[in-house]
Amino acid sequence: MRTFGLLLLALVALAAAFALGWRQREARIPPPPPPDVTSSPALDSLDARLATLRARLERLPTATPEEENALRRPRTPSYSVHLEWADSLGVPPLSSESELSARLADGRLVPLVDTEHYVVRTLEHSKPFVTPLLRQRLAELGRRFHAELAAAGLPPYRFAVSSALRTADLQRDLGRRNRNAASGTSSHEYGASVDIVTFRYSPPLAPDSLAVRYSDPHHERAERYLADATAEAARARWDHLFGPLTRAMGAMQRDDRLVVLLEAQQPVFHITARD
Amino acid sequence: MRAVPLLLLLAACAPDRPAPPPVPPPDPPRIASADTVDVQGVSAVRATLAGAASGTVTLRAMEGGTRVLMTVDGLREDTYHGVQILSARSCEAADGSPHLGDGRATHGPYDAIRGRRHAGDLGNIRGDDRGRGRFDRIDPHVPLAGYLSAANRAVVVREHQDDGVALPHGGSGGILACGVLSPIR
Repeated sequence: MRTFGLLLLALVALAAAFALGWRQREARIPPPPPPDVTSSPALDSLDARLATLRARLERLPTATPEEENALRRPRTPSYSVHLEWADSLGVPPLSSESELSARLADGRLVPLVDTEHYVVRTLEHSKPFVTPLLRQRLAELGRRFHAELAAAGLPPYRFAVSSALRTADLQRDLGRRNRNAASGTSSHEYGASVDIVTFRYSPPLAPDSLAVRYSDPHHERAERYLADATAEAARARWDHLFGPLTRAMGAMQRDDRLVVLLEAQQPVFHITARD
Repeated sequence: MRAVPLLLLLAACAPDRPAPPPVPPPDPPRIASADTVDVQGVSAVRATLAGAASGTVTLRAMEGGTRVLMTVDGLREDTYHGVQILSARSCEAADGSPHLGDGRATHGPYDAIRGRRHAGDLGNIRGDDRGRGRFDRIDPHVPLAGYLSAANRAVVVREHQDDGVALPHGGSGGILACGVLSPIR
């Protein structure tokens, strides 16, 4: 009975509080109005930033026929030169994963992971490992590539590695489908060569940021849009990024740092480290 | 009307019959939340994929990230298939499960920067002329330790290509094959 009484008292108190609140509903403070879409420094800044990016990308010189042909047959060293350098600087061809573990343990091979200079694509017929020397050369290539982008006021786009170390099994399997890889030993089997895609460039590792206050209601949306638009600009104007990459490779070949072959049947640079 | 509060007061003060002690209900089985397990000491996990396609997925921690190595049979040659690690801890719970991630990131391609992809967004795999697909990559965003560990999570191969944009699964459709990543040592 006492419980029932307490319950009833509580109900009456609740009803009184509700009635009081209902009477005062008109006096409540209205919610703030939604932010004015037309007055966002983030969005204003974004338009200007993207226009500048596209214009600078457009002005970046593409590769001239001279620069491109210097890396194609017959002017570039033949494939046998790649094999010779790979044989002298790489590891003996691997036959199994356990051999790979041994080469990683003794430091003759190192993992190839995304960096601020390049992205390693998902590999179908190779493994993401190379010799330490080749990894150094890739970093140097990235620095030279970024230097030209920075001089043009562009963000540090990353190039894409599409093939690295191949075992004999993977090389045989690839040879069934790809005439380029069909004949004999490949320099990829020594861990001293990689392929770099000519037409894919990933967004910078550190995202560009807008110089506006975080309190701007559209700041986050604008940041995301900027990142997507930066990536889209590289897809649409990849030929303008191919230019500086070609020039960086040509310079490294002239400096005896790399051997480069711009392949005819695949859209890739085949590069081998040299001492 | 005035008598109502008095009646209520009297009722409240009235002696009450002692109630029998309540019988506590049996405790429900304790189920740990999928996202509150701090995994430590796992350096490699493996899943056996089953479904319309079959194969294995091995994740191994190494310098720079986690090596994701997959071999899958039964894939189509003419299309890519999205590959994702989900928050779900079983294949039964995989339908509708979000991708493994910290909740702040959005769905994205595998080469996106941090915050623009989930940890579980691995990209795509494609079959060759025999329907066999290989996938080898060292992913800097997939953890094997901590609260977002891939250990004991479901990994799925989907019917279509993951475009890295559309929500929730990049337009990659239903699940073609699924397995749970279990620690191997």
